Amino acid sequence: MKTIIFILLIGLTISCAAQKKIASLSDNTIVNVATTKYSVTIKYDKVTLQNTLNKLNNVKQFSPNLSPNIRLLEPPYGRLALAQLTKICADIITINQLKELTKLDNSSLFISIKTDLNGKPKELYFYTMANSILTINQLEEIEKEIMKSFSITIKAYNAPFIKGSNFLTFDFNIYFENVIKIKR
Amino acid sequence: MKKFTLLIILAVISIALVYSCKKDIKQLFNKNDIDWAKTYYQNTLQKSQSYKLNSIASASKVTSENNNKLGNEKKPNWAQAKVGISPYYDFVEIPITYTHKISHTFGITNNPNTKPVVNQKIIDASYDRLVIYKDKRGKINQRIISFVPDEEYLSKHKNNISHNSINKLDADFVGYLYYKDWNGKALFVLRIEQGRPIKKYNMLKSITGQIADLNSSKISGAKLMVVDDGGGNTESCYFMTWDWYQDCYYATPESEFPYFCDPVVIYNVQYLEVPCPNTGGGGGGGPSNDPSECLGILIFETGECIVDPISPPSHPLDSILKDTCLNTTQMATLKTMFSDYLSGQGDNDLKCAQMAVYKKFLASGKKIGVCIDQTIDGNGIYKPGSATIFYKYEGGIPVVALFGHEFFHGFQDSFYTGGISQYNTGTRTGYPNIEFEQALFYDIINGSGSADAMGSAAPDIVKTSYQNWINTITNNNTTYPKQLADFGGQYYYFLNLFHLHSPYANIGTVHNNLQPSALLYIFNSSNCK
Repeated sequence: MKTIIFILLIGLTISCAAQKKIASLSDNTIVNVATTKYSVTIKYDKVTLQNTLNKLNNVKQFSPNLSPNIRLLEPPYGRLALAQLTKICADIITINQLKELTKLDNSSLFISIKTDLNGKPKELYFYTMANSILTINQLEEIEKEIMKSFSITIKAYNAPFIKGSNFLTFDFNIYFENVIKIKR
Repeated sequence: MKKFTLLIILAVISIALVYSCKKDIKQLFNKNDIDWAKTYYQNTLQKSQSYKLNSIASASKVTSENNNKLGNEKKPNWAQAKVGISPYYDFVEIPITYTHKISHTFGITNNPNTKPVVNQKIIDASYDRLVIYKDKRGKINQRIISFVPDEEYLSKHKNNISHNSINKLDADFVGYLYYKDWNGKALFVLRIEQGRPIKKYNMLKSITGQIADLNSSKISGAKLMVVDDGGGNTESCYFMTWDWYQDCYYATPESEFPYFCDPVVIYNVQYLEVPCPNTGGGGGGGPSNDPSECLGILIFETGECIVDPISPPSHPLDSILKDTCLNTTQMATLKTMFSDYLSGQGDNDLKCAQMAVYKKFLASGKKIGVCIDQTIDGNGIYKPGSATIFYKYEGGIPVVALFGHEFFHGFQDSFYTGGISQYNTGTRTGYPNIEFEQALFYDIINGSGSADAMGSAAPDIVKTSYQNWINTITNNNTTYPKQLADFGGQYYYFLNLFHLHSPYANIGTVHNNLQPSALLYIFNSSNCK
């Protein structure tokens, strides 16, 4: 009986932690979700949340054949990728949360994604308002869905330019105003 | 009484039905379908020299008595315009009248000095139509086409053939269609039999005849055409065109046919040597069918069938490209890439904006070169001195974004007085401005969510602030900024951040008075968003 109560308590604790709102997190802490741990860094009014398993955060990105004036993500494909991410967020964030979030100016979820040379995500991190009402559990769901179903279209003619790169970085800003449009 | 009421109701319904049908008929084509022709008319034809009568009849009644009438104003009746389409052209046919009515009659004769015999019925029934036509490449031109019937056909239709239009001739139409240009220059005549063209007379090769004696005697009569079998060289025949002049009076300015005309006066004769008809002519002077000829009424340009109607259109790149060092294969790749550039790769916003850049560059009259130079830094560069885009490797040619970047610099070079090389010398003051304008242009089109001008290495706070600014100045990607004030006073703030963080524009000095005028010009004039 003691064992059962103990297991239930642990489950309840994890569950409560997962439902924690971002606004309740403290700087420089690690927060546990079901199967993931996120490091929390707060600077000014913004918070960075990233999977503690991420390895590329401190690795300098290099592309020996790519000059910086080439946009790998040409506008049509950039918009396509953004639409995919907006849809993923729409499936996970509730309408009530979105209504609350859109009351703030430029309210958005910034997602920086590092991919392999085929555009498949290797890892990512979130950057958003420190007072966000999103829960850490929802961020985990978003991350899992991105890792599972999202990829970036990189045109074949860019292959010679990204050859030799260690990874590629793409930054997206998901505006809740646009998420709510999909939801409706 | 009941019957009477029923009849009235029926009459009212019938009238209503007729009116509603009339409305439908009037609205068969959209007003916009003729707008392009109207614009061409207003911008080109109305401004051209007014139609003048050929004043060759120096001793004639026309020139001596009515010298002030030589200017012959043409009056198209746009309310009666009809649109048409053929495999070669879109066209609009418009009834046209003149201050002084000009008519034509035709015939085959052995003697070019033969006195013509006028047939008033033919002249009264003849009419002109202005045809403005546009080929598949958008090139617009015009013709004035005279419809001239043969007498027998005219009689069958009770002296009225005005129901014929250029793309809908009666199946039994017999007569001539005379093609001229707006200034009255005779181009060619098509002989029509049973509604089909059977012979073309090239009036550009015609000779002007003498008419001094023709007006000295009575020239009215019952016959339409003359075939003079006697006199002259019987081995030669001539296709004759007699042009008649008369003052006419119209009930309203919109009337296509006058209610009264003064007697005709001949004022011009043209003739063209042609093979003599096998049968010795007569019967309206119509030639025999020449099966070797391929003719088309709706081929307004020449009247002759076009075997290869539309030669392959030149590629849009050809209009702006100057010398290139690319080989044939590389040129083909460049053209494919450029087609993608203009199409926006399926993205309408990109298509609109990039097409605007192309059109503005084209309008500048400047040309751009494309070449490969393995010694350059980076994968691509636009060099203002030679106005050339250089690729480091052949592999850069198909990359649309690379071309888009460098071509925008080409546009800036054509746009800014003195070009953009002035911003790349000495302290390179203005260099970051030129680069930021290009990067901002694409970030605005791309949308705030993936705007990346600051580079991936910039702090997240900088990247997101920039994206938020794009979101604000585009009203969440629904509009484009069109004046400096639309940047919310933060253009130079983000320009400085760009200068600080951009991996390729962190050189030179920000020019504090150089506004993004090229970008604003594109967004202002293109009406894309």
